Amino acid sequence: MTALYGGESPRIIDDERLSAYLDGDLPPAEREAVRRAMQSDPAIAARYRELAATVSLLHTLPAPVLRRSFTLTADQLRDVSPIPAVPTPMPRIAAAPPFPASSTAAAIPLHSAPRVARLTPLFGPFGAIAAVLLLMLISADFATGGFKATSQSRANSASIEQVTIAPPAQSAAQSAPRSPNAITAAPTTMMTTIGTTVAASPASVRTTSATNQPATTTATSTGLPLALIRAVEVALGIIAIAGIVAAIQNSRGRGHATVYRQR
Amino acid sequence: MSWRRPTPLDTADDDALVRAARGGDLEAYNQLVRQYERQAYAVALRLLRRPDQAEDATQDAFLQAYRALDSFRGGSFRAWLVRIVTNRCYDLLRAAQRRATDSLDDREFETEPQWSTVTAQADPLQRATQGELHSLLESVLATLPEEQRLVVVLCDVEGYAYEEVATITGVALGTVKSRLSRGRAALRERIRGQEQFADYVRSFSVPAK
Repeated sequence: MTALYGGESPRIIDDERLSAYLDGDLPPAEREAVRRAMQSDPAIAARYRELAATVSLLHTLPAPVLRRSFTLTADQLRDVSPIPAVPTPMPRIAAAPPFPASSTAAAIPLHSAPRVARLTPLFGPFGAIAAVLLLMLISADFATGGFKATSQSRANSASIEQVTIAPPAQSAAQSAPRSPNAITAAPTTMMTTIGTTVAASPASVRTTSATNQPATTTATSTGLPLALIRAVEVALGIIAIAGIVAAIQNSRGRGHATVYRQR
Repeated sequence: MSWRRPTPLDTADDDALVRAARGGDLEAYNQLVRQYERQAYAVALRLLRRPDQAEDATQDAFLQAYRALDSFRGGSFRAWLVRIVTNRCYDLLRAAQRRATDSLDDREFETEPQWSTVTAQADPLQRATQGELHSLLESVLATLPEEQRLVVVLCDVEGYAYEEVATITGVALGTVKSRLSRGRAALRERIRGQEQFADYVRSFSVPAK
């Protein structure tokens, strides 16, 4: 090893070795070999001295003046903070089920709510039409005295629907003077809010009761079997309920529920 | 001859500040900023050579480091931070190269460093001589290939240990050493012809023992 780094082989003492020597990064044997090479070879000595001068200048390069501080402010961090500085948005209220499950108003099974919501655009107009037809049918029923009210839970939704289509309901009801039950029922539901209607609605519009009345004719006097008329009424009622639910969901999603309540 | 060796790092303090900063303590993070901003800016300035750009890069790096605090896995915070600084500088250099408005040739002829410095020399004559040499050295430093320049700046100007430079640059220790020696030698070759440098070299002698 000594021969390699001795004066006889100056080219082996390259700049990397001189650099390591400067940094004290050579093992003792190599360090001694480099030292001896420098003493015996002026060229190596000159390279070393110039290298040492260069490194010394680098070591003493004056530090640049800091013109400003780089400390961060809360404002700067607002956009980059790992934890959001602004509160996270509230969960969308539209995701909530339209009715509380425990309420007496839970006429619609909970599991059907999402499907109803998806079909909202369809149920809206159809529901309204169905409600009008249903009321016409019922008032015709009253007019002929063939209706006997019973109480069932689905009446809740039917009376809610009356709120929505109040003008036709009123006129239809008033056009049937022989039906005192209906006359009082319609205005009552119109004045109450949706929430209270559920509890207070008179059990007057239930349509599925299998009355034992003789098969009196309806306003249309078509002579259709009573069962068929009742079936149509039930179908219209279901569609109307769906329309109401859809409308309520819509209004909640957009935060316009108060518009309905105030009317 | 006395070499300025890197001061040993007290990483325990840094670790405590990093933990506090992660917990949302901005003042703790700013303590880290104050501790390392000069070093970060000095590295950026010698890579970019323009104070305004170096300031932007430094500020960006401190913001970026804050955002990435969770990815800091311990060890030397300074090395982690300076790595972010150098990466930011290289981004800016690449962007400048793409714009191709200032060619590398322009940089070759840049002579004076365009920033003011903290001078430590008391003797006016020595200060003047060394000042010229330092300006000269700054200008030739700018001509080094980026890889060598970064290692020379980190090791010799900022006084970081080889191992820390290897961490910052992401290369092996042997690569750091060879880049350093090649960078030093290249600087020596480019400054050798200067008269002041020849005078300066005379004050250096070969170690007798």
